Amino acid sequence: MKSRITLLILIAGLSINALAQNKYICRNGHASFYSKAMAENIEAHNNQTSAILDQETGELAVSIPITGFQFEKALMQEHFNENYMESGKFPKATFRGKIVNYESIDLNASKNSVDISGDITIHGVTKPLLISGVLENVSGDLVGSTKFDLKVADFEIKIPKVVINNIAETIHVTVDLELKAPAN
Amino acid sequence: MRKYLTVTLIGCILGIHTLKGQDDLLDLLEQESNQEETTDITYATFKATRVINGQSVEMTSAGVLSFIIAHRFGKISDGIDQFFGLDQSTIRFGLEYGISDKLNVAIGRSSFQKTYDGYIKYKFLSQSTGARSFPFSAVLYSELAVNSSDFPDPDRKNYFSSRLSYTHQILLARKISKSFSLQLTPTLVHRNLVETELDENDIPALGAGARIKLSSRVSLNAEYFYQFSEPNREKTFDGVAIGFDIETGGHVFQLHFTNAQGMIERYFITETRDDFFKGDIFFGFNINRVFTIVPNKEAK
Repeated sequence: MKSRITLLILIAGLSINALAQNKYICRNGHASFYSKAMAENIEAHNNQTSAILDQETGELAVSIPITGFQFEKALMQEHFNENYMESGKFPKATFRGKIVNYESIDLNASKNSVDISGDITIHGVTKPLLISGVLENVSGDLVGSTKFDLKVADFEIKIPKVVINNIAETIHVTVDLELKAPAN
Repeated sequence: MRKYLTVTLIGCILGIHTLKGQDDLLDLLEQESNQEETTDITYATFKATRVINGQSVEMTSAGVLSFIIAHRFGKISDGIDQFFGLDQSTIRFGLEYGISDKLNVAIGRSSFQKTYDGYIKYKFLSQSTGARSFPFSAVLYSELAVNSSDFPDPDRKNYFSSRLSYTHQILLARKISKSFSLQLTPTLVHRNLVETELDENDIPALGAGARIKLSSRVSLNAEYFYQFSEPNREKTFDGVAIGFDIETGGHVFQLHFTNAQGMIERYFITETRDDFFKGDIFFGFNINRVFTIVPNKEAK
C-alpha cells in the first residue's frame, strides 16, 4: 500500500513537472509602440514583457504589464495608465496564439519565418490577431521578433476630441522576445 | 480489479492535464512571472500638486518643471458693481521643479501682500499595492514666505525678519478607490510678526482635503483648514474651498470657490477674514502646466 502511494505521488509530481518542461520562457522581453500624429509622435517601451512557447504544440502566450510602459514624459505615462488604459482595472495585455503549420517548423533551424494566429486582449477587449515574425535559434534559445498594427478604437480606448491630433488611430507595435530553451 | 481502476484513474487525470492546453499556458506564464511579484506604487491620488489652496501629495516628476498660475478674484457678494468680484484679482505665479520623483523645490510670488515664497516638498512614504503594500502616502512640506509690501507702521523699528513666515506640514493621503482620495494635513504656521500682542505667532492647524472623480478627466475637490488657536479663531475664519479639476493633455485647470483671498498657507489658513457661509466667496482658478526638462531615460 505504501509503495502504491509513493508511486501515485511520484506520478503526480512528474505530471506537474511535465507542465513546465518543453516550454521556452522569456521573462524580460521588450515591447514598444509608436503613434505618429499631426501634433506629436508618441513612443513607449516596456521591458517587463514575459512569454512562453510550448515546444510540443507551437502555442505561444505573451503577457505585458501596462504600467511597465516607460514614456519620456512622466505626465504622459500617468495619463496613459490612469485615463486611457485604466491599468488599475486591466493591469495586463495578453496574447494567446499558435504557430500556423507548426508541424512543418523545426525550431532547431537557424531561422524560421512564422505566422502566429491567436487572440490579443487589451483594456479588457479581446480581438483576433494574426502576426508574422521571425524566430532565430541562437545556441538553443529562440530570439523572436514581430511587428504589427493595432487600432485604438478596437479596444474601447477613448480618445477625447481635445487630443485627437496627438494620438494616432493606428498604433505600430514591436515585440522582441528572448525565449530561453527548456531546462531538459 | 482495484489496481487497474487506480491506474486508469491516474491515467485520466494526467490526460486531462495535457488536454487543458492554452488556458494553462497563460496561467503557467502568470505563475512563472509572479515569482518576482512587483510592487505597484499608487499614482494619480490627486490630479494636481494642489488640492485647491493647499498642497496635495502629488509631486512634480523628476526632470519636470511645473508652472502654476493661480488667480483669486474679488468677493462675489460685492455684487454687479464689481462684476461679482471679477473686476479685482490677485495672482500668484509659481515654478515647481522635480529634482527627483520624491523631492520638489519651488518658488513663487503673489500679488496679494506682494509676497515671495519658496518651498521644499519631500515624499517620504508612497502608497503601494502588490508585493510590498502600504496604505498611504506621506509628504513633508516646508515653506518660507517673505512679505515685501510696506510695513503697516513705518515709524516703528521694523526688522527684515518681521517680513517672514514659515509653514510646515505633513501631508497624509490615501487613494481609497479609483474615484475617491482623502488627505489630512497637520500644519504649523509661524508668523514672525503679528498684529497685536494677543495674537499668536504659532498657529497649529489641521487641513482635510478630498477629491471625487466625476469622469476620467474631471474631479470635484473640497478642502477645509481648522485652526487650533482660540485668539485667531475670533479674528479670522477657517479656510474653506470647493472646486473642480479639469485635466486636458498637459494642463490641469482648477476652478473653485473659496473664502480665502491669499494663495499662501499663511494667508489662507491663518488670515482669512471672510465668511464662506455668508457669501463672502472668491471665485478663483489655478492653471498647472508641465514641461519636461530632462526626459525619462528609461523610455528606450
